[in-house]
Amino acid sequence: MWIVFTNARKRKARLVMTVAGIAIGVATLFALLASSAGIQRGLEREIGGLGAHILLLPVGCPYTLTLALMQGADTLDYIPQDRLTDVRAAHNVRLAVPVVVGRVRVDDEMTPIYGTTDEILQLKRWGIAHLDGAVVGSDVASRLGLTAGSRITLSFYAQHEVDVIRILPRTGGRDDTFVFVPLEVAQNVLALTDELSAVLVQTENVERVAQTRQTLGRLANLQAVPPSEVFDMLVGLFGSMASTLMLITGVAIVVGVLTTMNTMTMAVYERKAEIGLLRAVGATRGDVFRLFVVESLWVSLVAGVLGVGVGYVVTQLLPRTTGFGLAAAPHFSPSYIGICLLVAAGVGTVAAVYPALMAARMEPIKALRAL
Amino acid sequence: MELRRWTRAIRSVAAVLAAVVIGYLGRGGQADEFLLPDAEGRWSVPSVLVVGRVPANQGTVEIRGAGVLSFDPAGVRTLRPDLFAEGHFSVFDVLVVLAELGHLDLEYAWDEASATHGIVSLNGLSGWWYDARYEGGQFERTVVRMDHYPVKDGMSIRVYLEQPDRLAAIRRSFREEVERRNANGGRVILPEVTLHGPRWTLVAYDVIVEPTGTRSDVLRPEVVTVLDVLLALGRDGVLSSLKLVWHDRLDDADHVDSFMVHALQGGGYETSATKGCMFAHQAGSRGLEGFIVPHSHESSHVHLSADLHALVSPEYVRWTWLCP
Repeated sequence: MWIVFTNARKRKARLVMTVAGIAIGVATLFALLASSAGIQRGLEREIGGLGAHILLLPVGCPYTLTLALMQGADTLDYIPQDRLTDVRAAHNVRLAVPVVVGRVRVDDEMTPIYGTTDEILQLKRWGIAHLDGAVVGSDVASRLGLTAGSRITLSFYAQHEVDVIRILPRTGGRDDTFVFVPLEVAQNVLALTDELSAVLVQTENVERVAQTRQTLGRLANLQAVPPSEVFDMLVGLFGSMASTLMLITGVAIVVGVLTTMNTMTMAVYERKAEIGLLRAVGATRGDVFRLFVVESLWVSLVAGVLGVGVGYVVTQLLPRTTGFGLAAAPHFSPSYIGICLLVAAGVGTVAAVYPALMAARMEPIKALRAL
Repeated sequence: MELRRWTRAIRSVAAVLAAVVIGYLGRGGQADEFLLPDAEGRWSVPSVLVVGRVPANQGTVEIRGAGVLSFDPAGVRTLRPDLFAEGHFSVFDVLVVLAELGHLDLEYAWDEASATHGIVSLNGLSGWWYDARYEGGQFERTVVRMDHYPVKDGMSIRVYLEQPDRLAAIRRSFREEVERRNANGGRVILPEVTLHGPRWTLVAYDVIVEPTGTRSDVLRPEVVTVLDVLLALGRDGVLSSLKLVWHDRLDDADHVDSFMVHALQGGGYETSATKGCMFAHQAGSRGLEGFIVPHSHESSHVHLSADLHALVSPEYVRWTWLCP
């Protein structure tokens, strides 16, 4: 071990470059793992947070419409409100929550609003009995300086004043960015009389969701979509992007292996005399082999630790979004540190095998000629 | 004997009818397809051979917050006689006529910097934009100037308050187009034209586009259209052949009355229409990218056909091979 550290101290520049080569690959891997997990969790939270077994959407692209619903963007296509009676009458429908979304001026700042009825309180735990005022997400509240009891003005097609009855605790999701108001207030401000952006449906029997979806899908001017389908599609879209990123990470790791291998091979040539001396004083081929492998392993592990640190910092600097306009904080797990250190150790071991074999096979006499 | 004479007479009449039908269909077939360049090596379509239907039926416009209003095409006169041929008009012209009839409270103005008419206020509100679709199509987030979008029978138009940031980006892109055209001495020079084939991509830079008057039945002959971009690529030698097919209708969509690109050849690549696939275009500005859904389309899309899409001077035109 002493020989390893002595050599590292002697050749600082080379050590730094080797460590940097491996650390970049490991940092990329760590950032990718943390971001991917964060995005997947973000999508899960947002889509799961809708609280519906079935989403009823206007006719159009279901994925675009679901994203619009989650982002609070006006869908521009709507479900006639009178369909709600048919939906509620359908077999296995426990709850049908009408929703209207859009962006309006809230105290002169464009903000997404979410108009709905008291039925939403069966899906969200807001600690109120009736939605008879505005329930404000934490981000909006801090941006506009609102507290419970404030009065806000919503304006777009029409103007409406409403009292803030509750400020929601921070969730880290889209709810933080919404102002939830009674359905008729949102319909008035968005000029959507008797029209809905979506209906959130909960079923009595979850196992019969497929049949209920079929029944609801037959109603005119709407489509029935399970949120899980949208989730799978969005995760699939992200998955294809993540595969490309993983490929780039793989290339970075292979480059790390080659850089380390090159450095170790150079080290073998430079340290012929040292190898000769070691063999002359009784070191076996196995001792020499282990020396180079252990040296490479240490360098790689140091690079691995550094890479995890850099990866953590990089992840903090990346945009906190799923890429679909939805919030997603990176997710860190101790297992990612383990994976990254294992990869670094693997890089070190693989990269050391050839130079270590070369060193071990070196004839002591030839090696001593280098003195 | 009598029976034989009758049989012969019926056969003669049938033969004459068949000849007339075949002749008619044959004439139609020749008029429907154009392979460019023509026998004389010209990259242009004789405009007299195609005529789109003039809007004649009552149409409707949905004004968000005000309801659905009807208009009679016979009563509409265009504010853009520099763009439209006799009898044709734009979405914006419809709003103007509805205002003249007292159905809307519309204040509008010509903006020289954007080369278009804009709504200053409608029913006391500002920030309006529109979506349009032809019969059988779907609404798209268009960024075509409202006074450029030709009205056809069976068309749906909806006018709504647009998000301020997207509207600002649309206006900015219009101003940039005018600045680009002025910087080029009034000529339409496209910084980038991209053709995305099924498995190939061709890119041309700084393409000078001249009007060909292909659709002088709807637009003035001096108006440059997106179709002219392909014809310019042909003249420049980027394309070696181009097949245009006239469609009265397309699947469910009626009153299409436009040319569609069914095949093209150039840069060593060749692609022909199969199973409903064909080339569709987009023209726009990169400044319009990145808006949240459902406003994700950064430019115009498929429904406004290339031969009726008048250009000012966009940043790019893209043609993409689309399959159903």
